[in-house]
Amino acid sequence: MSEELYRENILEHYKRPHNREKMKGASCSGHAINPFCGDDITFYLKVKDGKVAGASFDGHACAICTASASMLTGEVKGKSAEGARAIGKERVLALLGVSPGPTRLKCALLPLKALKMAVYSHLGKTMGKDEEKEIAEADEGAGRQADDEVGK
Amino acid sequence: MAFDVDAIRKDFPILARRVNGKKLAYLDNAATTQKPRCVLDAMRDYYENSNANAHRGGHALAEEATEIYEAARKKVARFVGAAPSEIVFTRNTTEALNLVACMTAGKGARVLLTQAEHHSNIVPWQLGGAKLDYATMRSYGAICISDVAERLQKRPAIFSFSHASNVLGNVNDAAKLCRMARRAGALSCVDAAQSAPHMRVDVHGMGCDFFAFSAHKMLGPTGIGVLYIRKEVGEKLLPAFGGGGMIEDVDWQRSTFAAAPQKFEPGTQDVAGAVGLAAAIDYLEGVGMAAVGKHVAMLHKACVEELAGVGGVRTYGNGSKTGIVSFNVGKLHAHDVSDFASQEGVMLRAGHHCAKPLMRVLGVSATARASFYLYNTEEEVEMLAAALKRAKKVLS
Repeated sequence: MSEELYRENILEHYKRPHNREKMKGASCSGHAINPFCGDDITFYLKVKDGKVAGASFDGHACAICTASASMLTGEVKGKSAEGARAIGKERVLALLGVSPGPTRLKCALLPLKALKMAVYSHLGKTMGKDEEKEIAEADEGAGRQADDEVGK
Repeated sequence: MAFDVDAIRKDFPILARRVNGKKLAYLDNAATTQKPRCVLDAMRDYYENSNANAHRGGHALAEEATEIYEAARKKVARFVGAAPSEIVFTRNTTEALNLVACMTAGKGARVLLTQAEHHSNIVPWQLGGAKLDYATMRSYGAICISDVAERLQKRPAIFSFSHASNVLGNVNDAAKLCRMARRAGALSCVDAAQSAPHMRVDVHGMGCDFFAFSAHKMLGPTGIGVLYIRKEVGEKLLPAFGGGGMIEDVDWQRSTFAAAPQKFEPGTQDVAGAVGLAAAIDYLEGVGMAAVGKHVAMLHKACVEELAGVGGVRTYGNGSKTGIVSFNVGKLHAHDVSDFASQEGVMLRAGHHCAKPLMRVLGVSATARASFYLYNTEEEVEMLAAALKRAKKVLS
């Protein structure tokens, strides 16, 4: 599994992550930890005129988690808050280009959780239990549905 | 009998399997150990030939099951130098520590722990609402004795500490720490999950009031653990859980309890688990605890040397007596390291090892951990080093 997991694109984002910095003057931020391994990610967003104008992340994380966070900072730029909120599990896996095993899936999805927490804090709402569960347990169907919405 | 690791390996069916097409190097023994065939056979034999409910009913099979269960208790008692009535079977070390917390430290009670504890020796005390204080550690991983002395002056009800840390592997001088606790008027509780599998212990000589360990970390089955409760303490304690088999008499409003250990063992017991543990003890004693310790120390030394050869590896603590080597490879995340090792057939643990407060003291979010037992070999240590070199090459 590892050989395939550590693909070139993942290693590239891990070794030279995009937008890895604590953002000054961020509109909002979200923090998520993985109690299983201690990964810890904070996601920062700058929202201007209803669109994500900037995104960055910071924290301690493994290669998969770091690559996922790095890719998500690019993915979320230019999206509306609702568009950012609607990014789903399938999109993250598509960006990574692999389907990690159940343990590492949590690593891959942790940045998505931090991103969503940031969006919710911007919207002044809290994440619903169902959505939190969807990210934590990576329910296939729910993830795909969210992904479809992004495609629209 | 000379120590023969090849002969020992043949007793463990799982060691012959392959993982990811590679030879299996099982180096996660501090999490759980593999089981020799004799343990599995003993449990199967019990279920096939003697199964009944121990301590219930007077029929022939119930009596046989009771005898088998109590024989296992006797064996465990002898293994740690206790009287059989001082041995309580639990599900595991965690349940044993929860029991101690329930029975000795209510809301607001002062409890002294150390910074090197597993969550199982922290959270049970928090749940009961105790006021927790933590003795600090020396940089090399042992508990700081003078700090313990100072904190004992605050008169905690109980001092509960790990005999050996599951992350650092250092073995603490439990006899000394228990003596200090007693002089300060505190009970002492020893989490021996990582020490009991590796060394001869004598709980009476140690002078502890409680001593807890798990069968599954010493070749026995999962689902059964042991809590030693010193006789004088056990006589006074009220049980934490009620149920069948632990009473003397039950009336509408109140009950009186059986003597220890029965009063601490409500409900149908895991007889097959006790049988498995007894068989594991027989196996370990057949090899000899001293020989096990010597072999594990040799592997620990070889591992530390091999890791030094990888370059950029930092190790934490000193587990020469418990076979534990916690480490990080440069800036690589422990999870990535363990994934690469797994790919090469080497099973490591990675993460915070259920010791998040200790991770904070060490200033890391996670470590990788190799842990050895009697069936591991130097070849497996070399497999580990090769896997780490590969991880370093690909990820750095």
